[in-house]
Amino acid sequence: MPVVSSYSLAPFKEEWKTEHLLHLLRRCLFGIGHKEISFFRDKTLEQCIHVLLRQSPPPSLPIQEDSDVEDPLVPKGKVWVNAPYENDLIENRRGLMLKSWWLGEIINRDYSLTEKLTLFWHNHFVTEMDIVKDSRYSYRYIAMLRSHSLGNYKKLIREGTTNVAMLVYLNGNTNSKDEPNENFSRELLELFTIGKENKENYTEEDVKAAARVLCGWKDDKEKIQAQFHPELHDPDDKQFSSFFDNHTIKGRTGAEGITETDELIDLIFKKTETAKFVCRNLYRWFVSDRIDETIETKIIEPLSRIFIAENFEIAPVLKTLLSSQHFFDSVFKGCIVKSPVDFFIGAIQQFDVITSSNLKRDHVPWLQFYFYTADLSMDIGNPPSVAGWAAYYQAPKFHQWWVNSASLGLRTKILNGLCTSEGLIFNGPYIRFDFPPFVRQFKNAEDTDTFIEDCAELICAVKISEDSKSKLKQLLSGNQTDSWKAVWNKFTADAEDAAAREVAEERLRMFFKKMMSLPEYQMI
Amino acid sequence: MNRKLFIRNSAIASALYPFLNTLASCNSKTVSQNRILVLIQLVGGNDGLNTLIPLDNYKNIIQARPNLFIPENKVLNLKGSALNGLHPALGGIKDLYENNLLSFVQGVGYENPNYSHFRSSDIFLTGAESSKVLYTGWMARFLETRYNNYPQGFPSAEHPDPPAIKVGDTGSFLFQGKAMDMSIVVDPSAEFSAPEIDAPSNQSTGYAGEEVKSIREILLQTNRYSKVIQNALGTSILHSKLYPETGKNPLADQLKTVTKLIKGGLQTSVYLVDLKGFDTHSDQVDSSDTTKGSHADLLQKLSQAITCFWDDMNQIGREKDVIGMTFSEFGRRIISNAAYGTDHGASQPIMFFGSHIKPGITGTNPVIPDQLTASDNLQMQFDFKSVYSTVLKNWFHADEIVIKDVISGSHPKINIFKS
Repeated sequence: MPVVSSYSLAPFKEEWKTEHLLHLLRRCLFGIGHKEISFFRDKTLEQCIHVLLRQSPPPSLPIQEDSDVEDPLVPKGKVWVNAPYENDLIENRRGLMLKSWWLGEIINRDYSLTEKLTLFWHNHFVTEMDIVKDSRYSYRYIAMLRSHSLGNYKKLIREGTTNVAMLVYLNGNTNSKDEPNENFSRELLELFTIGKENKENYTEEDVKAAARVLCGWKDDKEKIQAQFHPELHDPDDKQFSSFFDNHTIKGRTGAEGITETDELIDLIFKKTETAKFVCRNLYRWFVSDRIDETIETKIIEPLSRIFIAENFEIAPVLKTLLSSQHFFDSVFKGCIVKSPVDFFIGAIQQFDVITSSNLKRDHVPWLQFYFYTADLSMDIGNPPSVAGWAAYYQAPKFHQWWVNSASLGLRTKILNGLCTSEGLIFNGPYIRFDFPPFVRQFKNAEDTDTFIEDCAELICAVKISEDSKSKLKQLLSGNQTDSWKAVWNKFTADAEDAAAREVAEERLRMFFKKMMSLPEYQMI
Repeated sequence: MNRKLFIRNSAIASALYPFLNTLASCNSKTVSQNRILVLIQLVGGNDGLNTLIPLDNYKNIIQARPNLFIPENKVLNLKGSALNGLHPALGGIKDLYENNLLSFVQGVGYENPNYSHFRSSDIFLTGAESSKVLYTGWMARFLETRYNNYPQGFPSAEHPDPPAIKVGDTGSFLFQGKAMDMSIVVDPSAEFSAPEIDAPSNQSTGYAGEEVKSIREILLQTNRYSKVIQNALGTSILHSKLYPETGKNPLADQLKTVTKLIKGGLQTSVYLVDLKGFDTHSDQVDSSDTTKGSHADLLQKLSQAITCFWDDMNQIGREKDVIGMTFSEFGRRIISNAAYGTDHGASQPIMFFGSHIKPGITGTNPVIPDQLTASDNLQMQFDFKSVYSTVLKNWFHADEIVIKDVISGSHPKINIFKS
C-alpha cells in the first residue's frame, strides 16, 4: 500500500530533476511536450513557480465568426458581447462561439496557471450556460473567473454574488423581500464557501437569512449588468445561528441595502471553514483526491492559515503548495486521471500537429475541440450541476468518475483519429498529429529501447509495463523486414524521400496509437 | 478518504456474513433470473404536486401556488381515481394508468430530509439514512450478493452478462460496488468498442499504481462484456413507431438502447437511465400559461419515453419480465416562488409501471394546510427504503436477510406488486 513520506509544506530542496519538472507542469498546464520542457528546463523550481503564477494578459474579446445564422447587428469579425440580445437562434450561435473561444484561449495559453485555474474556479463557482441562456452574461462570468483566477478568492465570491450570469443561474434576480428565493444563498454556503461536508455547521435558518440579505438584485438585459433595487430589498434585521456567533445583520434601506451583502461575505469569510474548504478543493485539483486526517491537519489546515493571513490571495497558497516537499512526494506522481480537457487539449498541445486551420486564430477547429471535450463529458461552460463535475466532489471515486466503459473507448477513438494519415476531419478542415518533428527531438530516436523509454517518460506520467514496451517495440520494428533504426535513418537522411517518410510515419502512427491507448497515458 | 479502506471494511463485513452470498445465489438461479428493473432518475428534484395532482383540496393548491397551479379544467382526470389528476403533459402516463399498467406511490422520502441536490441524490442512490454516509450504491450491494466477489470470476457461464447497465456517458453511484462499478456504461450515441489490454506492470508505485489498476479493471470488464453488448446492440429490431426522432428526447433515446439490449438477450437485471433538468427554481411554467414551460416539456418527454418503451416491450414480448420505476432526489416546496418556479422540497410521488404492478395509487393525497409558510413541505408517507425493500423482495425475490443487509434496517413492505 502506497504511503506518503513527506507531510511538509517546506520548499522542496532535493536535486531538481526532469521528473519533478514534468510532475509540476502536468498539474499546472494542459499537455506537456518538448516545447514546455525546453522552456522550463534551465529554471529552478522557484523560477518555474514564478512563471506559472504570473497572470496571463486578458484575452481579446470573442468575435462574430462565420456562420449560417445571420446576426444583423454584429457583422463578421466584430465583438458581440456588448450587442443587444436578439433571439434564441442567435443566442445559441453565440453560446457556441463563446465556448469555442474559451477552448481557443486554453490552446493559446502562455506558461501560466491562469487557464487551469479558470477551469478550477468554473468548477468551484459554477454557472451553466444552458440555464443562463445569455452568452453576453456568461462571457462576463468567464472574464470574471479569469481575471480573479490568480487573484483574490474573497473578491471573486463578492463579485460573483452579483454577477449577471450568477444572478440568473441561481435565481438571485427573482429574490425579493416578498418572495425570497434561497437558491443562491444555499449554494453560496454549501458549495462556494463553507461546505456542508456532512457536518453540523450552518442551519436552514442561515440559508433563509442569507437569502434575505441578498434580495433586491436584478439583471438588466439592456445594460448587461446587475442592478440593486432598494424597493425589493428586505429592510428587516437578519438573524444568524450560533454557528455565525448569533450575528445579526442590521436591515438597511435604500442604496445602503447593498452593504448588507458585503457584511454577509465578511461573516462567511470569518469562518475558518471557508478557507479550509477551498484549500481542500485546490488540493484535490492539484495534488491528490486522497485527503485523510493527517493531510487535513498537516497540509490543509496550514494552507488555510496562509490563505487567511494573506487575506484570501490565491497565489501565496499555491506557491506554498506547488513548491512543497509534500507536492513532490513521489507517491503523487501520475495519480490524477486526466479530465477531458487535459486529455484532448493536452494531446493537441504535446504533439506537433498538421492542420488546414490556424490554431492560433481559427474558430472552426476550436469549435470542434469543444465538441470533442463535451463528448468526453466535460461540457465547458456547462457543468452537469451547480456542484461541478463529479470527479471533483464525489467521494470516494473522485477523478475515477472520468473513466468508464464508454468514455475510455471514446478517448482512444478520438486520439486514434488524430493518429491517422487523414486526421480528424470536420467539414473540410482537418487536423492530425505530425510525428516526425516530435520524434526528431529525442536524442537517439533510432535506438528503439532508448526512444521508447524517453517517449514514455515524456508523455505517460506513470511507468508503462514491460508487456506494453515489448508491444510498442514490435510496432516499431519487430516482424518487419527493416529494423526501426534503418527506417528512421533512411527517413532522416533524406526528408524529400516520400516513400521513406511514409514507412517511418506509418510505424510511428501505430506506435503512438498504442501508447495513447495505455491506461498510463490517462494520468497526469 | 481512503478508497482502500472502504474496500477493506466491506470485505470484513462480507467475511462476517458469508452465508449471504450463498442464500442469494440460490435465489438467483430460480425464478428471478430474467426479471428486469429499469430505474428512471429524474435529476434535479421533480415537482410532485404538479405531476400527480391532488384534487380534493384545490382551493389550497391555488392559494399556495397562485402563479404555478394547473387550471382544474386542464388537469387530466384518471379513471377510477376521482381525487387525483395528472399534469396535462402526461397523456401517455394516463393511458398506461387507465390500462392498469402504472401506479403511483405517494409521499416517498426519508426522515430528516436534506435539501442539497448532491447529498439527497447520494442518499437515494446509496440507500443511506439521512445522517449516514455510505460509499456504495444500494443496487450494487444487492448485485454483489448475486455476483459474489465481482469482478473476480465474471463474466461466468452462469452470469455471462453485466450485472447492470448504465445508459449515458457517465457511471452512477447506484452501481458503485465494494471493488468497482458494477455497471457497464453504454452510450447511445457512440459505438461500443473493445480495448486492447496489456499485462500489467509489476513496478507501479505510489497512488498511480492503484489508479492505473482501476482503469485496467474497467478496460478488462469492458473487454470481457464487449462481445455480448456489441451483439445485443447489433440485434435487428423494429422499434415502436411512437418514438420521436433521435436527439429530440434524450430519455427516449436511452430507453431505445435498453430495448435493444433486452431484445438482444442480455440477462442483465438492472438498467439506469435519466432525464435531467428538474431543478425548476424559475420558469417551471410559462407566465402566460401554466400548462406550458420547462416542467411541462420534461413531463412530456418522460411520458412519451415510457409510452414508447412500453410499446417496445410488448412488441418484443418482454412485457411480463420488465418493470420500471421513477425517482428523483426530492420533491419541491408546496409554495411556489415569484420566479414561476419552486424550491427544493422533501417527499415526492414516484411511478411504477409494468404488468406485475398493482395498478392504482398507494398512499393518500398530501395534505395542503390552509396556512402555509415558504418552508413547508409535503409529509412523508413512505420511506424510500421501504420502496427499495419491496422491490428486492417482490421483484427479485431476495431473502429477508439479504434485504436487511442491503438496505440497512427493517422497513415495512408496501403493497406495490400484484400478489
